[in-house]
Amino acid sequence: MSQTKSHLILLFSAGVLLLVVLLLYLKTGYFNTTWEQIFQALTNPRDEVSSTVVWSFRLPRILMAFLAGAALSVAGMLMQNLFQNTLAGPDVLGITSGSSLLVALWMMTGITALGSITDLIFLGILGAMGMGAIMLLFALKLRSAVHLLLIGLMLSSFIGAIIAIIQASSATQDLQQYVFWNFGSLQRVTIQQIPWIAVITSLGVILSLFQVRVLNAMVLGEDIAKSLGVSIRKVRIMSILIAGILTGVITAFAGPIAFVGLAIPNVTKLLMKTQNHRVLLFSNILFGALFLGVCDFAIKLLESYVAIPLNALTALLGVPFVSWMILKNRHVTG
Amino acid sequence: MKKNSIKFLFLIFLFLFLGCNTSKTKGADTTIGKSRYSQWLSYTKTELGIKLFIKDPDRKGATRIILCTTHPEQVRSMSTTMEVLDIKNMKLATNAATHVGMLVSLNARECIGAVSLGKYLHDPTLKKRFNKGQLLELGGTTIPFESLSKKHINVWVSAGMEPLDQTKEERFKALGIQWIPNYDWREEHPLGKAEWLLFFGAITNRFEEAELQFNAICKRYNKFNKLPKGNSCQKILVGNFAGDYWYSPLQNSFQARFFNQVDFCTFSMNYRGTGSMAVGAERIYQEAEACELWLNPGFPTKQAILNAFPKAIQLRPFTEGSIFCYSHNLNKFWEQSALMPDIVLRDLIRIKQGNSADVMLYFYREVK
Repeated sequence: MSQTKSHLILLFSAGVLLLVVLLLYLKTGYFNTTWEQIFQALTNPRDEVSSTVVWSFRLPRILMAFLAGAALSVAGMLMQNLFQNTLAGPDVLGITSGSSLLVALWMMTGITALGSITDLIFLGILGAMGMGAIMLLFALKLRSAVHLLLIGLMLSSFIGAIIAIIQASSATQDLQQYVFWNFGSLQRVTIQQIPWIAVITSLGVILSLFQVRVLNAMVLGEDIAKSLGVSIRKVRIMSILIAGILTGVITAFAGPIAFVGLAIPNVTKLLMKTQNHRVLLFSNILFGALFLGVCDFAIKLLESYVAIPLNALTALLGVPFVSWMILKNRHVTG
Repeated sequence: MKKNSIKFLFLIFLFLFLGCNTSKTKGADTTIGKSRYSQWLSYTKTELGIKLFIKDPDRKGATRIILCTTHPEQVRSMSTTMEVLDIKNMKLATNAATHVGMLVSLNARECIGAVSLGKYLHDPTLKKRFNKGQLLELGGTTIPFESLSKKHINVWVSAGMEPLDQTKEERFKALGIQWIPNYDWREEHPLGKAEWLLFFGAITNRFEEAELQFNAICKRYNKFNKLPKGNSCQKILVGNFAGDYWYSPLQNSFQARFFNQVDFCTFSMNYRGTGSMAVGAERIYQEAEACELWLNPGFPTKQAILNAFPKAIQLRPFTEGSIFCYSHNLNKFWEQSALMPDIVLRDLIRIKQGNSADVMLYFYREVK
């Protein structure tokens, strides 16, 4: 079987699974809903409990899980390509922290410029891009991947310290709002916000699609990429811009979500066994969405027995995987 | 027959006498102390001062016995199991707002040398003292040993959330600071929490005053408790979302005790436990359908609730009912509510009766 065929089978399977997760998610919950009720709620929403449950609780949450999973995985893929490091990711390199910092400032100082949703999106993206740019400056100076990761961790701690200072001087109500946001939640997003997030995420994905050729060239190393006519400066700026947009918008709405951006691009590489970023891009979108969708579905199924915060589950699955990956680094392509 | 009857009556008399005697000595037992509502604090008066017995809620059988006295030199050699606390020149550090409220109530402000964070103070006099730099701010998680020593702090009253490890204990000892845990936050009964006022009375040499105040609180609380409360088991919604889960108080929690007294019912009060219960959004949506009242969402305005949890708009009390919370002045609530359970109870009764105009309520306000 050719590689293209196996890629298509894997992508198709992921797509089908995504659809299955979506349907099961819409069907499952505290309220018993029949398939008929779900269908009716989706096609002809009325003022009924089943419609409210589907449109207010189930649909926005699962769509947010898909969007967040896809966006963070693509951001992770771009970061790993840019830093030529399989351990790079938006949360590891402090990009999520950058987003958190500006959102924290906004929440705890109460300064509004463009209206609440626009502010949130803008600051989330700006913070993520700012940190991405800082990390890039370090990447230009440091050759060692370990040093770069250490810098990422230190910058995250540095931002954590700044946030702690802001917290100490903020009003109790603002602090409470920030703490709730910082838990990370897919539940908070409303169906009205989903189009905003979907449009911005799609923009990031479309921009990534235009980058595929240069991303493939970057895999060969910067020198070869240069000789192939790739402008390294432009690639770096674009990668940070796109990763900033994708991470920023998700972090702004759902709070910081850990490990997805680090683990999924690596899983994708392992499964697809390719460095073709056109394949990797679509795979990351599907696998990322599937991963976070399954995580949230598991949380929902276990809800009556045990309360598992989203970040706890992603960390529970992500930490063993990353540890294993560090130990068995030779198995990872790239 | 007559003899037997006399014997029988004598035995009954003896039984009753011993019975009465036993209950009397229980209250005055000097080895365990007495308490009225508190689970973790008991006390007894001795000639040399007040003896406090502080039970550790997490370690069965572990009890700190502290004699609060103005004549420490007379008792130091008497017992090895009992600690002696010199209360002559008390300067204490505290990291809980409830402690501050109790000390303020006893007019023992001058005994406070350090507080957790200045921004959490409610009492205007203490705020002024803080702004003048007369109060030390303890800040975050690390204990500022040097500053404590500089401010001549001799007692650290801790909320007891983190146990005292050996290193900290040695440092405290070296500086001559006594670390005393205060488990008022572990009390389940509202009056049990208020009874910790006697703890502060003992360590600041104001025990009689504390006793008077506590007796008055109990009297008022029990009086309010007898007031008619309207329909029984009115279903209410309590709490708010944190992350993906809604936290609602369990049956034996401190909050649920109040709701029980007022005949408010919430679904989580059917489950045993002292903490809270985490449930998902759909369950809350269903529970909210039966409620017209939502208490303690944690925010003072509807907009603030929506900012933190936009789906609140789907909950019936948000759109059709009413919401009440104490969040418009959190510092006041945390500083005073532990000592004013009677007022909290009165607020809840008034909310239930619909007698809930702002002027009628002390801690609570309607969330608009």
